[in-house]
Amino acid sequence: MKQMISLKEIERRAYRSTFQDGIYDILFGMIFLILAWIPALDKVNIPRTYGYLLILLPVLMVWIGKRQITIPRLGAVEFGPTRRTRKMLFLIVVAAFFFLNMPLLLMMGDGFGGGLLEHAGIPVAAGLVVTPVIVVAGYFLDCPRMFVYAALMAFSIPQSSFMYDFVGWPFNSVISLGIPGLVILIYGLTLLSGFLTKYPRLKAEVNHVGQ
Amino acid sequence: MSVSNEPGGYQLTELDRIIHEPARYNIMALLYVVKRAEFLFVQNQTGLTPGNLSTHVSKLEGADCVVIEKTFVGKVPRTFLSLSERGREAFEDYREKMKVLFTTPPGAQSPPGSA
Repeated sequence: MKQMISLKEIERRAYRSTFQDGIYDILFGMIFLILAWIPALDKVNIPRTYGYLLILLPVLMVWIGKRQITIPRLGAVEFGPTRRTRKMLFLIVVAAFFFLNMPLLLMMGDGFGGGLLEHAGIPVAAGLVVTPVIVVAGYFLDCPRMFVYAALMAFSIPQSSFMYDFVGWPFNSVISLGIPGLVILIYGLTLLSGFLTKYPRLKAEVNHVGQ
Repeated sequence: MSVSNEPGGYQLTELDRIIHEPARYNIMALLYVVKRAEFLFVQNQTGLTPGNLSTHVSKLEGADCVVIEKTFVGKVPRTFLSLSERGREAFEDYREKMKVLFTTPPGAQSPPGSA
């Protein structure tokens, strides 16, 4: 052998193959887009709560997508205790973060506090609260692209404030979160398309082991 | 592994020869780093054809290195592969031997760290 094969690299490649389907990217893209359009609900007198609840829809789509699209094509795998521990830690940190920050998140989203929050509440809330969650996800789930998504979300704060002078409220939020959301969504759909082509669904399990 | 004092006199055991084959080594390396994996996942990761993978897995099962678990998820049959305890030990032992082999200068009488 030219060099000993790195077991760590094999494990990392196997782990990262489970999210080359683009489903998580589609999730983040849709969350960005929903957050972008929530302020616009005020224009049509729809409570923002419905917008926040809409975020559950892409989360549900991830759950369904993994079971109906990814696993039948890629195969199921159970990783070792280290990965399971990291995933559990991630879920605990995210749950605690949202639980502790949800009231603040909602108030900021409604413009409570005035100033920048009055016309850029959603991007500020997303940038300050959701961004750390995405960074944590990128670290614990070993997915480097999430750091880029976190940076895009953080950048929406100054961008939204800048855009306010040109397009006003609520379109400053729509643009500052909507454009990156659309880019991420398109990237996710591209990954999904490639995944479906690379891993066609088998009609029946093909193996002769144990026969 | 029995090690002779002749230069290059390493002798692999029969189990080592089973693991030594590149495709089987890749299969065992993948199963070593996960708890268990579906046949399809192993096939995708190793790039082997289903028939080829079946043949190698059967050989590993025959050597008591791999455990094959056939189950149903709903009405869909699924085959899961995992390393047995013996398989893990054999794989670790094989890797250790290869490290010694590659770090011992040619012609050395007593490889460092060998029994």
